Amino acid sequence: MWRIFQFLGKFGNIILFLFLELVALLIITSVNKPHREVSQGIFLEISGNFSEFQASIGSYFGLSTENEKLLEQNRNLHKELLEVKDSLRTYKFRRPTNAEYLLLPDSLRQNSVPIDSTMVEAVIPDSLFPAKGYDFLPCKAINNTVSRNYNYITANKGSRHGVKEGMGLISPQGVAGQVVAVSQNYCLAQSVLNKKFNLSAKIKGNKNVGNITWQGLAPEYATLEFIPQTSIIHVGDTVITSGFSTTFPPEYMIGTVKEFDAELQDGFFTVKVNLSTNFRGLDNLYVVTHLLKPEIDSLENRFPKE
Amino acid sequence: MNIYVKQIAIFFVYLLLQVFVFNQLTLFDVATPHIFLLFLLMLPVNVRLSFLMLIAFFAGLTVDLFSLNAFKGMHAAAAVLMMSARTTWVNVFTNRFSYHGAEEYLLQVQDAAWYSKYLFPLILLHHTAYYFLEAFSFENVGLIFLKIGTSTVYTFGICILLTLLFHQGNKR
Repeated sequence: MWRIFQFLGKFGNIILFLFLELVALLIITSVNKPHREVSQGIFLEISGNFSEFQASIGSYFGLSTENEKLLEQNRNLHKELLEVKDSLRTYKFRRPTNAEYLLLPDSLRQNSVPIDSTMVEAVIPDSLFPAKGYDFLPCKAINNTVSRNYNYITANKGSRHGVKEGMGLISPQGVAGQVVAVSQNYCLAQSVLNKKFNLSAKIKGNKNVGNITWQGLAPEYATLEFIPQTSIIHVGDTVITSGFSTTFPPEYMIGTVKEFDAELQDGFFTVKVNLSTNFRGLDNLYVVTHLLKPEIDSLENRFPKE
Repeated sequence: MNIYVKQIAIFFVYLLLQVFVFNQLTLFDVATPHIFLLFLLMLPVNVRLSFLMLIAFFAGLTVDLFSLNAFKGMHAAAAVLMMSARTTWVNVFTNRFSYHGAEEYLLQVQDAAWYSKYLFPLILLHHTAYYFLEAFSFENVGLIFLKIGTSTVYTFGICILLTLLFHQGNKR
């Protein structure tokens, strides 16, 4: 006890000085808006560095399961790619008029085979397909929560790599979140498991667009609302993004229908969606960049809303 | 009169002057006189440093609260920094042995040259901390230094005037 007093007598002034300055700094960085923004950027950078160190240890132990997942994903992608190629390369179209026929590229002209008097089947070369317009920047989740009402994901790519606020974040299994804050090397994304998260979605094979939200209970399930009761739904149907925004690629996986009910007499189903992304084990992620987003935005902003 | 009551009264006079008069006297949007520092700098030298730092913190915080257009908390941080340097700075060029009066009157019996030596560096220290905290970045360093320089000269001029008018006295 005496030692403590002795210590305080010796260093009391320094401790008090540091304490008072710390309190003053806390006041400055919490009350004033510009100071708060600067300090939040610094804190995000520091905690990002630390979390990345932690995650790098964790991901080393998870390598084998991650490997298996990647292999499986690779296999599925290959299969899908072959199917898509098959379905696209032979294309039926109306028999061209003479003028149109002259405008066709050579490769098409040679490869077209008449089926009947009105239709022609042709093999379309790969070069004629425009790029899909999306770029995927691989990154790693270095911090993630699932148990709060407002969950966030920290990933290790930032403004230096071209990440901007509002970009989408996807995992190989499905949609994961949306970027809300960016520092130089890290970005912070609102998880799907966040009560503020909002995403337009539809059920595969069905044109009606609804709304994905999360009610704050289990991290496995989200809710799809505003699907009209006239549409036909089965348990196990796939729920995909609608493509009405540039945040996520269209028809990207969100989850599957777990159950649905029409209890409310408002003409809409409330669908419980089993999310395909495993939020408890996020590791490899992709930041989605829409390459033509500036063009779309400038077009949409040309006329005032309302 | 009780010394505490007297000092609190002095503080309120300085607070009112600072908030209602000198905060409005900003020149060219860069130079502002922070004359409430004189209250802190003229506190008796025989008070314990820990107590002085607490006084500086709360005095700075009060001025922060009542300065409507300024960011909050910066005077508190800067004033504590200035106060922690004060005692050492007084001891640097004051020969305590050649001074025979009561210690609490040490600050009231000096001449203008001594006051200049005493006030200017401490005011400069406060303003440096204050304006860097206000900017909170190192972009635009030129403007920050301009503000520090002009405000220091402005504050110092008014403070030395007030010192010679009101605080120097009680000569014995």
